[in-house]
Amino acid sequence: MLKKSIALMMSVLVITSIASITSGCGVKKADVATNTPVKEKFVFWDKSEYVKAYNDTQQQKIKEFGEKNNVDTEYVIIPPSDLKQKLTAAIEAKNPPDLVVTDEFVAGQFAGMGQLVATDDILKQIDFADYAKRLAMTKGENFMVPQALLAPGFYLRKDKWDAKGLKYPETWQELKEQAKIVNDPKNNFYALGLPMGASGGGDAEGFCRSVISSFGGVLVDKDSNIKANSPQTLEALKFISSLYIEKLCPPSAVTWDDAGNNTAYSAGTVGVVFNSGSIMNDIKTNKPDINANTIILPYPKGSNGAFSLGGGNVFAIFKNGKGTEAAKKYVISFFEKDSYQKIVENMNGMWQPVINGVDNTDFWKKAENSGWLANSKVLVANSYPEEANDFNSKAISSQLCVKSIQRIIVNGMDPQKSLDTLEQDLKKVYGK
Amino acid sequence: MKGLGRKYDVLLGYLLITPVVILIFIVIGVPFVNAIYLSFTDKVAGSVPKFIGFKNYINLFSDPDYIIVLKNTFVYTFTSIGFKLMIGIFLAVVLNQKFFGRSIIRTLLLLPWALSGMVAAMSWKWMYNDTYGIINALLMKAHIVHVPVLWLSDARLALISCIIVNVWRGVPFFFFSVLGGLQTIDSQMYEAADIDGAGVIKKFFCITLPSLKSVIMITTVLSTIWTFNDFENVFLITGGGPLHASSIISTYTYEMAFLQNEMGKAMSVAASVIPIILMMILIPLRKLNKEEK
Repeated sequence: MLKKSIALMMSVLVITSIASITSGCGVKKADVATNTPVKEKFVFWDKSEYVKAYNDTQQQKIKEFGEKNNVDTEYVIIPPSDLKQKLTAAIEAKNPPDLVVTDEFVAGQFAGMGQLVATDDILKQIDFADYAKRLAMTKGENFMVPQALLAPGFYLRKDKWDAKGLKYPETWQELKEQAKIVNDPKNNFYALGLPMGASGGGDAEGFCRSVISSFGGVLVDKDSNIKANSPQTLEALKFISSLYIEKLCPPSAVTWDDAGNNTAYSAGTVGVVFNSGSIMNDIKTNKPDINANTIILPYPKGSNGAFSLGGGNVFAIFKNGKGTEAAKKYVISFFEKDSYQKIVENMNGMWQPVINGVDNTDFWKKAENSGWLANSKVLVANSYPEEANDFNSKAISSQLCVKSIQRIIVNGMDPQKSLDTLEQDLKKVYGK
Repeated sequence: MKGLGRKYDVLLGYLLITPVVILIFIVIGVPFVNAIYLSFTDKVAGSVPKFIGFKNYINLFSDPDYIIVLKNTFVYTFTSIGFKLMIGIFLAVVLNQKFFGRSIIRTLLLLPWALSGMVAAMSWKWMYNDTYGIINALLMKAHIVHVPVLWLSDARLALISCIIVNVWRGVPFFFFSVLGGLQTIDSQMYEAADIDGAGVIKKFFCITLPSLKSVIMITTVLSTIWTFNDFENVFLITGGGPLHASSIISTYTYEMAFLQNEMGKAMSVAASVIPIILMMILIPLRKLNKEEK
């Protein structure tokens, strides 16, 4: 009797559970809507910056924007090295954020996948500088909104160079010859701190492309023809790999991500790095002795001159986001002149402005900042000489040049063979 | 009447497990079947997948990187398991003896297992560093090496460095499982062996090991599955680099899916090892079942 009663109770429980679960699926949106008004939600994934003040300011601005516009806001800070993976997963889950800030070549890839909204309407409303407008464009259309330029600088420890009585290098060859003299691995000091890890960051790939361009090499020409296999590119690959093979860089640099050179330079274990103002900002605050002994030089020249390749941060708005309109409204409000000028200057030179009329202040007239500004105005796109498109965005973020150098350093591959593979990899990306 | 009651019990049983079966099917079955389907498509994030038959698998088996990754996965799994097993048994046998401080050592041995994988991997990454890592500093101070060992950037050492960390983390699981098994062995068997004049080694191979067979088998099967599917250890220490020198199936799948955005290919990488994992589970379990019968 007891057994039957328990069985009956359990059956009722199971059936009612299943019924309640399935009936829950049938609740209509309208039923819910009649009870509680649905507020628009605006989700913003931002890059975690080296300067914490930026993320704090942005968080405050988002909060104020939400209150003013009666919008629920969600501000998420994500390390740049994780952003692409998280975005890919979010797109696949059909739940992308409304707005992101990322490097222009990462955003370009999402534009190529048809995930971003066109930004012409935003660009028309803001007075962007001509040299910054290219950040918005991919395949001849505007899908991004430039946020800031990130001009790289050539950092050199002048105390180490002065101690050896060396004139500061003007060419890549001079840099290498002088590095041999300054190099002192026995005392844990390497002349060069150049990351060459395929971790997904942009520093290593940007460096390789800068050297290739200054040696006269072209990976993909203006008309999207793959021209990587040339004596100039081969020379550049040989030159870059020799810096590692001859142990002028810490051996672990082949596994460094974009933070590796920052850490090494701030720790005083390397003498030269090519980086944005993030290091300058760090050493100014935390390592005044290294800051006092640092000089920022023009990029070294090769047979084809000096090339400083780089890009910047952009806003990208996802078309499948739920708060696209709020995102557009927020981006426009971000460029309110005084507020934008303050944010950029708070970055201590690491960011350079993208709109007109904010760079004629005392801040940019200071010697320590004027070089960064000047450099940002002549910055060459990472995809040079080709216009930015989803193919070269993928090639850059896949770090194909870095991998070609790694094959020579790590696997001892013949440079010509590695260049052949680079050419094949590029053809694969371009679908040729 | 009895027959009706039995039928009723069976029906009730099925009714009671139905919600769980539905839940398992939704949570595990549907994603699994979907993943297998995607491995036959050209899926990239945000796109509608197009069926391409076995193209991903054909490309995979002609991809030299995949062959390296597969080889690395086997080396990583079986080397780690071998060392974990040997060290675990050795420590269990030693720490099964009574001596002063035994409890403290046993507790300390649990630490690597108790630590979060993230903390362990990041600590080892720091220790391996060629510029400021403690391992190189000690080796150089002891004049064992004159230049720092490139634990993470030398293609020949990167995988070994990951294996060392995996062994360090996994030994406690073997140690405690075997120790538990050792404590169930009847001490009279050892006393009888003593009377027969058996030495330590003979007792170990004729009494200890056969008595631990099922414990070792289950522990090894579980650990093999975990090690084969390990991700965080390799991903956090070397990221699979340099140039896939330490890349294993899980990190390669991640790279394909989220860095290269080739979801279809990534699914084929993951699905390609399902038969291997099934064999690793079924063969030992079948053997164990046969022996029990």
